[in-house]
Amino acid sequence: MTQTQPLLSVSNLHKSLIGNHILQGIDLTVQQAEIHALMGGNGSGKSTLIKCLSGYWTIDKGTIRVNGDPLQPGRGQIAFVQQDLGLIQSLSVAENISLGVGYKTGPLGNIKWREMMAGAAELLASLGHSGIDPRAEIRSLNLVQRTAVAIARATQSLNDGARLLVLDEPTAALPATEIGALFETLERLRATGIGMLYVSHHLSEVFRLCDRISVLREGRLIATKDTGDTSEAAVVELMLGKKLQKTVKTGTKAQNVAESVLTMTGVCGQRIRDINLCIRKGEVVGLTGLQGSGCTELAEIMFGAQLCQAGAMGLDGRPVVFAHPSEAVAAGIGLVTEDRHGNGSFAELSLGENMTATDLRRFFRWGWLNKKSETAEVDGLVAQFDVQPANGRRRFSSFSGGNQQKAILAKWMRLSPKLLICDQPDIGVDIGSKNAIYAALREAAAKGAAVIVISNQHDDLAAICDRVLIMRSGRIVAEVSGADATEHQISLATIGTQPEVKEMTR
Amino acid sequence: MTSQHTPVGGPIRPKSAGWMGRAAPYGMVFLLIAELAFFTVLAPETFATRASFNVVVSNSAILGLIVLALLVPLIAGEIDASLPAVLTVASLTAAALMSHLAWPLVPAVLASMAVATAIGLGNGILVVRFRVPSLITTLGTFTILTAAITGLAGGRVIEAGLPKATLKLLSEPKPLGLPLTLYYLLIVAVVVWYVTEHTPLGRHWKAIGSSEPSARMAGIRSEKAKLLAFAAGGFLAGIAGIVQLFKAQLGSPNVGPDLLFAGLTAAFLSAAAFRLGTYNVRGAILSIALIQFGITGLILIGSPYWMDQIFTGGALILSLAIVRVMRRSNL
Repeated sequence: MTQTQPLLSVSNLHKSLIGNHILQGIDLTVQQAEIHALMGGNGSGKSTLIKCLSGYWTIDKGTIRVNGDPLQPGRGQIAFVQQDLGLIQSLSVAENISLGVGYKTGPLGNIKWREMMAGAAELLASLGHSGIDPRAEIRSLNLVQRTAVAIARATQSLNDGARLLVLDEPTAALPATEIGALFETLERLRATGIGMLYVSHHLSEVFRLCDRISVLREGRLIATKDTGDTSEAAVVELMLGKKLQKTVKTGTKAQNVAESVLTMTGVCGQRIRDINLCIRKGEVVGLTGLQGSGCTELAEIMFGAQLCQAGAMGLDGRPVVFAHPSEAVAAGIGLVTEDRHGNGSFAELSLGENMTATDLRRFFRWGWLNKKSETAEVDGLVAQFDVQPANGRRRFSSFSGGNQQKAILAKWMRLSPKLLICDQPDIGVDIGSKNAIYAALREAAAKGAAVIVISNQHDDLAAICDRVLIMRSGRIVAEVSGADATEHQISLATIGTQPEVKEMTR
Repeated sequence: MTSQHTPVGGPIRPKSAGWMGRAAPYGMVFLLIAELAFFTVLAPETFATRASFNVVVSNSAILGLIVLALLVPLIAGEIDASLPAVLTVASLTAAALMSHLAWPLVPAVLASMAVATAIGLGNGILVVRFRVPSLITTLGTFTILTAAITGLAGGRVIEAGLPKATLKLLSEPKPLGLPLTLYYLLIVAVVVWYVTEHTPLGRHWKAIGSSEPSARMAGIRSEKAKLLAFAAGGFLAGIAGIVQLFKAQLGSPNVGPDLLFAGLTAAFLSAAAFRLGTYNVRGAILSIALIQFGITGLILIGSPYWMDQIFTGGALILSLAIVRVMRRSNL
């Protein structure tokens, strides 16, 4: 075996899923002691490629070789660090590390704890984390330490001689200040000859850490570049391609003279930092960012569902402090939550009961919940928002995702909120319902409400928003508005590194 | 160009609401009729008599009240297993105040109701403020209360100095030929039905029981509503204790804790009738009838004494399974 044999070589890989040609002839190599970045937008085929490597999907055509041998899933040729790390919170560090490879047992079937602890400590020390106690429970560790444990477990699961690690957005959950510590760990691993495929959306990280960059777009490997020979701007161009700039504006332009509904000055939360913004009457404002950028937390702070640790918030020019969502609702704010099933709906209640849960007292007359007027209002909303099947008495969980989302929107719209925040309103929603929802949001704005839409779909944001705020690592780093609020510009600002979009594109 | 595949979120076919679907909420009514017919045929001389009916009804009143008490926290998604012991505490407190301190009836009753409500509220505070799972917390309070009952009453009944005549008058008359205790049960049932189904608070309990995070995000003060549910549970258990005192005309340390399993069974089973998948008052009353007539019938046809426990246990398991299945259905 020669030193130059690549650890991973993928050639002419094809994969189709439900009739869609997802991967169209991928060629990719990862060398020893190399950190190789894999970049690409949503739907570019990154996850499918990873799933082919892990053996989750069988490939249609082409070859995957690891160390020159054909890929045999489950044989420990490749180790994976999942995005959510996949650690068990209530077990100790050493127990987690040993989970994948099994526990060493003595003659009576007893686990050799001392040996296991010593092995884990040694492994962690080799990664530069001798500070982690192998007896500690995962939940007592900070995020960097947890990531280190996940990496340790992954390297442990490698067979003798196997030296290939795949990391899927390992920094997604890490605060920006702690990424350096993770990189040190990865650099130590690289020094031992291990090769890594590093999936990331973050250009600055990739340029800081990786040796080469491969860019996927629409199922093709567009280019592989040495990091030293390229620039961030060039990689962004590769990722976005020569897409047509969509400029379908449907709404009115925001008038900067309109009175403000919500203002925030210097607002900080758990992860968000120093947010300053002003949302005005009658405008639809987009809010977007990569995973973990803090959009949801910002929405929940506006709604009183998370603690505003510092800074000030104003509603209609008066300072407000919300200690509980009920106070925000009373003040005229609505929030369509991102996690519809987790905190946005009552599966066992009827659709109508879901819609009226926010202000039942309106129907409470003479000591009696007036079900006739409640039903009448629900029927009206079902018709207005075109919920199918048009029966408000049906169990909420029996409706399709799109119709559930319409009902949730109706639940807030019936209160005529001053500010309506929609966190990923298009998740699990079919295209027809999505368009109906966006049309309803524009209509609400036209009637004078302020609307905030959080979404990762930059084309949708470009189509419906008057302006778009871009968040990164808990801060608002850019704003595009008016004619500049195109899909292209929003995407650039989201993945780019420069804080000011206009400078970047001239 | 037309799309090849159907849209994901297109109109879904309404599940065939045939006669089976429409009859399902009343399935338990048919089951009760079948049960009554079964025992009438097997024991016509003993089961189908007014005397045995009155025995069942007067035995059911206390159980019924404790089921209503258990029902309220259950609707709000929590369980208060200590309530049967709260019943005993309330009953003994009132008896002791009258017997040892010579309090008149009304203040003694009011004081014991306050104690019962406070215990319920205390459970609520443990569960809501400290976020301890309610089953574990209230099994703890159940054990403590049971021990306290033994310690305080020394295993003896409190009888001396009670206003026997008044207590008799409050329990023994039979208006329209039905035991007075049944009327207590029905009045309380109507009040609980009204609060749970016709007030915003009741709907909030139901919403919290379905998803507490969603309730919070809908602007419902879920902590407050849950505290109220626990306090209401304690209050209702207190009523059960007082009615028990009227009925027995003495304070007994033995009645409450035995009702835990039968009470939980009927409360769980309530979700299998009328409002499928949600605990409800009408379902609870029907479940009590089903269980009590079943137990009485089994005794009257000469089953061994341990048979009623098998019946209750079986009904509990069956009711949970039924609720699980029903929660998956559409309506």
